[in-house]
This record gives sequence, C-alpha cells and structure tokens, in this order.
Amino acid sequence: MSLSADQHWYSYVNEKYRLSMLLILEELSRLRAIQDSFILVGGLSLLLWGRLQHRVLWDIDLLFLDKFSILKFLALPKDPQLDVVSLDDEFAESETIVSFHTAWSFNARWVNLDYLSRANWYYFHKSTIDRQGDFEEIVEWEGREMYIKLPVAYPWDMFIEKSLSPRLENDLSSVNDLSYDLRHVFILFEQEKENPQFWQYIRRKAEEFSRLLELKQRLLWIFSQRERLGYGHIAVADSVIHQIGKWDL
Amino acid sequence: MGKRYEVRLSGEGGQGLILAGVILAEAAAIYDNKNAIQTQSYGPEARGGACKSEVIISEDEIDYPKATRIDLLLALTQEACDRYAGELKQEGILVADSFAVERIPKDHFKVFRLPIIETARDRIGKTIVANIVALGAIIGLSGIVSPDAMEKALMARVPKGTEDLNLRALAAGFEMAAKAKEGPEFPAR
Repeated sequence: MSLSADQHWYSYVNEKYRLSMLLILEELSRLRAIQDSFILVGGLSLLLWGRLQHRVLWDIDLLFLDKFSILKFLALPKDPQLDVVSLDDEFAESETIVSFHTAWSFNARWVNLDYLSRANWYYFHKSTIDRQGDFEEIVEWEGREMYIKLPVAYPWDMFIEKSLSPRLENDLSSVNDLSYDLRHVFILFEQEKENPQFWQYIRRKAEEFSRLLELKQRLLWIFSQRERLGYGHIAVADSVIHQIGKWDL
Repeated sequence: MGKRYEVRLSGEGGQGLILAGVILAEAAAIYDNKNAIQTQSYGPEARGGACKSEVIISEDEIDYPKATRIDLLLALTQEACDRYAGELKQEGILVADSFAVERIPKDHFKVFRLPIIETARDRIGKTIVANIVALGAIIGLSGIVSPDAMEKALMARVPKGTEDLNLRALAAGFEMAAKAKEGPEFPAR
C-alpha cells in the first residue's frame, strides 16, 4: 500500500478500538480460511476499499448465504483471547432477511458484529469477489503484523445494494437526512459520477440482477429529493438524470 | 458520572433511536475519549414495531457489552415505558415523551416528562428530529457526555444542508433539560 499511516483506512477507526478491530479482522481471516461462507459488507467494506474517510464507530456486517451457514460459523472455535457476546436472544427472521447481532472484543474494546443472510445479495456480491479477488493486506500495528484476507464487497456493488435497500426507502419516505445509506450513496456518487465505466457497470449488474427498473426509479427518487435531504450541494448533471431515465428503454 | 452508565433509548421503528444511540456512543468514544458501545437487540418485541437501542458509556473498560441495570431510560411510546421502566435502577432517570406517554409507573426513579416529539414537530418543523431533541435532553439531564462532544458527533453525521436544523433540535433538547432541572420533578402517577 502506498498510503501513509494517517491516510490509511484504519486511521479512521477510533484509536481505542483500532487494535481490537484489526485483531477481529485477522481472526475473521483465519476463520474464513476454515469456512468460506461469508462476505464482509456494509460501511466497513467501503472503508477498507478506501472509499470512506470519516471517523465513526465502525461495525462489522457479515453476509451469509443462509441461516444454516451462520449457525455453522457460530459454532467454529474462536481465538481464546476473543470475547463474543450474543446481543439477541434469537435470530430475527423475515421473508427477506435473517439477522443476529453480536459484540466481539479483544481487550474489552467491543465492536459490533452482525450476521445477516440474504441469499440473492450473497450471490450478487460473490460473483464480483470471485472475479476480482479478496481484500488482502498485511497491517503492521504497534510492532505486530496482522494478515487480513477477506472477501469484501466491492464499492460499485455496494452502491447498488445501498441504493436499493428497504432501509433507504424508509429514509427517503421520512426525509431522514441522517441516513447513513444515503450518505454512502452520495459519497460514492461524487467519486464516480464522471466515470462512464461506473454507469455501464451498475446498469449491467442491476440488469443481470433483474433490478434495473427499480434501481432507475430509486436513483431518480434520491436525486430529486437531495435538496430536502441536505445534499443540495452535490451537483447532479442533467445528463446523468437523462442517462438513468433511458435505462429501461 | 459513575464508572459505567447505561442508557436505553426506546420507542418504535422510524423514530431514529438506533442512530441516536450511535451518535451518543460516538460522542462519548470519539470526542470525549471514553469507552462506549452501542447495541441494538431484537427480541420478540421487535416484531410489534417496538425499537430499542442501548449505549454503555464508561471511563473504564467495558467488561460486558449488554445493559444490565439501566441508569437512564428514554421512552417515546407508552409501550416502551411499560415494557422497560421496571428495568431502571433505583434513582435512575426516566425521560418520557409527555404526549406519547400518559401512564408512568410509580417507583424510585426520577421522572422527566418532556414534550420531545411536539418540540421536534412544532418548533423545529420536522418530527424526525425528535431523536436529536431527545439526545439534547438526555445529555442535559445526565451529563453523560459533554455538549461539545455531542455537537461534534452530530455534525460528523449530518449533511451540510441540514446542519442548522439538527443543531437547533439539539439546542432545543438542551434547553428543555435545563428548564426541567430547574422545575419540580414531575410526579409519577
């Protein structure tokens, strides 16, 4: 990596929690080598790929194919130094998602780790990771080397997933300016809006995923509401709106 | 503040309580240099639309990340108050929305009934900032994080276009807490 330490992704993890986060990612890398059944998604995936540069309390979202895979993963023996506490009494299950919340810690610095299962999104991300590879890095921290090798969702795929999320739909309906999905969508949009390959990619991928019309409608909705949502300072060219408007024609 | 302080924010889905918990934890951990963890858990109550978010803040290391004895409970619905008030510590603080929560159980905790939702809707002009008004009130009443840290944590989450709105919501909460502390404690009924 050519980034200096103060630009590195982990400089945006609060100092107190940094070592714990790095050790957890290292532990996940070890566990993944035993059971390759999850993909790291969510805001942390964007941080790892260098797309977010702000300091918040990051949590870890692991996406699995199904509940069975989560149960199998939960049963794997973990590092004896790692503390894991289940926050839920049971799995939360709906028609579209299964989730289970836990907190992981090395040295009493707790990081939220959420297990999720949505089969279609698992395959959606996996196809890209299979093609483009894992996130892989050796991090040196306080005289210690940590090897991280994880399947991490790619930013363009996260743009599609976040844009289509039911949570974002609720945020738009209620004009929730504090929506983190919306924030991530606008950050990625700012980074990629002039990149024709980005637009070609998300169009093709959404089409393959049979969600093109939905993505079109959602993006047009997001952009039309940006003033009310506090993102009026982000310019959206007419050509972008025009281009998205023609997606399903 | 004691070594470990437990806050539960409760109400219903769509009131922004998870995010309020996240911002409170970030104020404590990132800007006040304390230890903090925010969690949301989903028990059977979540299916009914109930929502709760918990934040543990401590000067020392947090040995267990789940709330066990609540120091401060925010209740934005009657259901949340009914369900969780019994888990408040003796001498804990109950902050209840004065419109949504009519019945408050008698017990040995301090009760503040505050017009949180009404203030967000009528004074700030946006019901959804009730979570930010509530944060201002909670911090004003408990002092668990500094107002400066809270403001920084909020500004780090807010898009440029709504900074003023959210700061006004937070200030309204601070103001509400200051007034409530001056006045007599609202009796439990």
